[in-house]
Amino acid sequence: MSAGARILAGIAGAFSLWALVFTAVYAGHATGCETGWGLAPGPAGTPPLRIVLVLIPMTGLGLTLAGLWLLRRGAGLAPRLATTARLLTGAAAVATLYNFAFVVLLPLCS
Amino acid sequence: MTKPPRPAAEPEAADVVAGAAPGIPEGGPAPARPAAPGDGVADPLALDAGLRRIWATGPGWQRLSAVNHSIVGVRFMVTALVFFAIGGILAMLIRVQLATPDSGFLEPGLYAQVFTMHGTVMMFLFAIPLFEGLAMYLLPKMLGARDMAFPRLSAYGYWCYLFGGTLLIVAMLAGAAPDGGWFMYTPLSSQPFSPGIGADVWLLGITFVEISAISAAVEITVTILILRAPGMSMDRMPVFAWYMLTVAAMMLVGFPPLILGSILLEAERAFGLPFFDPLRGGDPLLWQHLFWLFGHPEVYIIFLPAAGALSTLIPVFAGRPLAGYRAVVAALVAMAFLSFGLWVHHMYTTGLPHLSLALFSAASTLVAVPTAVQIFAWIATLAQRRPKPEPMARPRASVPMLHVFGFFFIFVMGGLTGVMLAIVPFDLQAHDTHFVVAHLHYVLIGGFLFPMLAAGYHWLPLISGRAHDGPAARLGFWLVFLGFNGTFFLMHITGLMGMPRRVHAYSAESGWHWLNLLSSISSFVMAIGFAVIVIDILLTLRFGRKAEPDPWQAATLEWAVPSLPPPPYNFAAIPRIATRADRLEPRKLVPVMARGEGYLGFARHGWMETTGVSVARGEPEQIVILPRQTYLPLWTGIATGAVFLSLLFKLYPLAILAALVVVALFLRWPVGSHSDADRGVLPAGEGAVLPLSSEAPVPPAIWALRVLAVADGALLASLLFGGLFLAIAAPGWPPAVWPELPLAPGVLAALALVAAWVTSRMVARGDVLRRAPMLGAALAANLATLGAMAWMIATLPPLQGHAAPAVLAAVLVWLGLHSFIGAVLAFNALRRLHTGHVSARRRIDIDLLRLWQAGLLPAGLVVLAYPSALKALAMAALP
Repeated sequence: MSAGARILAGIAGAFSLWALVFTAVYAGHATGCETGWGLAPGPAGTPPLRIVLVLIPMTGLGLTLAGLWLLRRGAGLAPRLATTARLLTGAAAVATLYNFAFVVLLPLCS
Repeated sequence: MTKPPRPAAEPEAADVVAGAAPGIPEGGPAPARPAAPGDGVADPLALDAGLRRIWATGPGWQRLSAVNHSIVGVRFMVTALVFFAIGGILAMLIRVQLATPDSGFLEPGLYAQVFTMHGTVMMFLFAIPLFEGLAMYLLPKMLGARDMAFPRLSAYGYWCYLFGGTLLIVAMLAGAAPDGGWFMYTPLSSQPFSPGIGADVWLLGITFVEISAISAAVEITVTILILRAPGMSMDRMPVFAWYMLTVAAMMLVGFPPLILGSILLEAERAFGLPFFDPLRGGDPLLWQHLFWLFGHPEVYIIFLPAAGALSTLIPVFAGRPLAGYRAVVAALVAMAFLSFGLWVHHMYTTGLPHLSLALFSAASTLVAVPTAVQIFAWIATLAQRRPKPEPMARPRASVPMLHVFGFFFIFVMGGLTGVMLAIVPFDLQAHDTHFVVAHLHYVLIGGFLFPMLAAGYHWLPLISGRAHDGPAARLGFWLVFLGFNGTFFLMHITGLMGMPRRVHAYSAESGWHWLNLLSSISSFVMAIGFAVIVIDILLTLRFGRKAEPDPWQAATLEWAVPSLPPPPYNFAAIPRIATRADRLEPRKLVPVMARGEGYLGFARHGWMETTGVSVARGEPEQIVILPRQTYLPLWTGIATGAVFLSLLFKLYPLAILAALVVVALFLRWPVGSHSDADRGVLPAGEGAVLPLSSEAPVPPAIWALRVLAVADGALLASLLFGGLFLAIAAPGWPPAVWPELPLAPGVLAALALVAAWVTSRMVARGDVLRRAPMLGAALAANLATLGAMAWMIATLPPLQGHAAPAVLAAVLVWLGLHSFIGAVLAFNALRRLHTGHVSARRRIDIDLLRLWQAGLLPAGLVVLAYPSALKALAMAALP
């Protein structure tokens, strides 16, 4: 990976993932409600839509935390950029938790 | 067929002024030649004169050929301020109307035009162009470059902005202004409910203006990425560059949804394609999604440049470096992303499920965190002890700092009411009331206007060469500050009392009249304050004493220019940066660079030269030759204006003709004398020998195409998601008869896309001089794709019947248009190969084609698969 690509990944990677999760959850929610997945019975009485909507942010969170682990020694970035990248990746992890915790709790399609 | 390549050019002695080791014939007359490249010259005045001959814009009509970033940047700013005055006058009309109950000052239709134009002018014609102008003016100087990466694009963007803005204002004066609110909600803005041309003026005028925004975003991005001073690695960039890089990226993603929405709505109004008509499979909410996908990031697009100015000037007046530089950069990047997750908080009342509301409400509250990080960083910068010898000294209470104080006070209040509105139950109560009007003005005036006034006073000596020391500035500030709070704070109360937005009158029994009267009186106090500030600045420009170099003892490179205002070439030589670029000592750098010590400290061949560096480390990689003064941007802007005017007056054949003229004019842009022969590597000063950009592996043009692909991808994604949204959310889906597309043209298009990609790759390999047949094949393949798209569109049922065929036609038009551009690029490469502008070293035209086709192949295949996906989703969502 080139130095420029490393900077791009370090600075924008984690929040790009957050944006992808956001889009997937919003689009998945709208589509799932229209196609009836929000009401269909699933494992342990949980609608399949809720399972999907929980799995998407969990996957995103897992990948973000993996990114944070990769950045622990700077991932080849200059020290100042490495700190910025770690701050951003940590913030994206918190944002993912805060933003999508509701998918566990709230009614799905009402 | 092609001209034989010339050997590396040896400059004539007469071509070289004051220095320039590059290939000067031995013993040639070089009166101020340095001992070695980068060592400087004996006669800085001769160097200055030589550079001015190349970079200066001529007088009289030649001013229309200006492409210099200082001139174009100032033009942007001055024009934006003229539009600000127009928008301000419209605001005064609104306040006069609302000063008393049941006022007859403006009749309802005219009032609707006035508030629509007020919002439109302030958002599109004032705020965005003002910071674009400031960025164009400052960035090259801060980064150590001699101009922006694409000076002609700057000039073209300016003409598009000027012509598009003028179109809107002329329409208003002619009584044909848009009147559907600055967000032009459908169905109000659809043809049956807005039958005149007012809405068309908005849709076409704003799209015209947005060309300048996208072009500015492209060149700001490329300039920051590769046109920095050598040694200025990414982590040494001044913080303002980080802000502008982030803002430019946001513009690339944020503006395409609006451009797409405007095109779709204009297609509905002009041709009856029912994208937003719920009776025919459309949905008015699609417009809201597209508009606010742009509209909410837009608020941050406006705020962040102002925040960048604050992050630059607060350390100057605090006498300390910015506290938490790394956290500030992290905060602004986080803010940029989060701002795209808020768009639905303008749509809480549209009946979305609770879970969706929660997602957007959470993101809306979340964005307050990075905002607060920046505010605390600025406060910490001001609160820190200064270094020796004056540890107890306080920040200077200068005029810029007064406006910074105004920013803190007002923007924090606006931010807090923003958090209130992010909470769904509160928003349901306050939605579309004057509380929202108060909030948005606290955010935009607090977050943009006050910082920009601070920035204006801070950089006034740089831009004008005049020192500011008039007492009127303080009077102006206090009048604006008090008038602003008197005007808008009271709107919080009228809003909470239930006063709706956009009503032209209210009854005396409402109980709102005293508050409205006070609001109106305060607004005139604010207007007087602005008038005082304008007079103060005009007096400074006319009578101000000459500014001394680096008057604020700042630590950024823009103050290292040899004179105030700066010469058109910015720096006689480009310095090597060895520390963070906001910790420099401009006063020490000035004489060094003026002597030509550094990179490119000479004038040769009449070339406009600046250094191009690697993105990450900032190591010099190429000599970028910038274009000379030319009328081409003006002519291209006029032809582009002809396209939009033809569309406005429904003269479609003329619009097509004008569009072809635009293409023909653009094809003339790449011509440059430096690229008609192989030059090899040339001395660049400081012992470096570099290729010209025309021979570099990744020249600025390739970066521009990569960056533009982001915007193009955002537009395509918006279009695809728009169709999917209609399929699952709009009433009347699927249509009674699904518009099936024939297989044959689809297969033909897929094969042609692959063929265009393969041939473009083959052109780029081996001996490019023998690749004309391959270029011809790429051209034919693109035309075949275009033909297949026309075939497929022709088989669709009438597009006016249902949104489904209209959506399919829109995506097919996208692919057809991109195939046409591919054909143009192939034709251009052929033409340039024929004229000797392409060689094994000079391969920009071929690389552009290759890059284009590499992007178009996957995008095209997605488009070809899209009809099936749309049908599957529509069927799955059947009740």
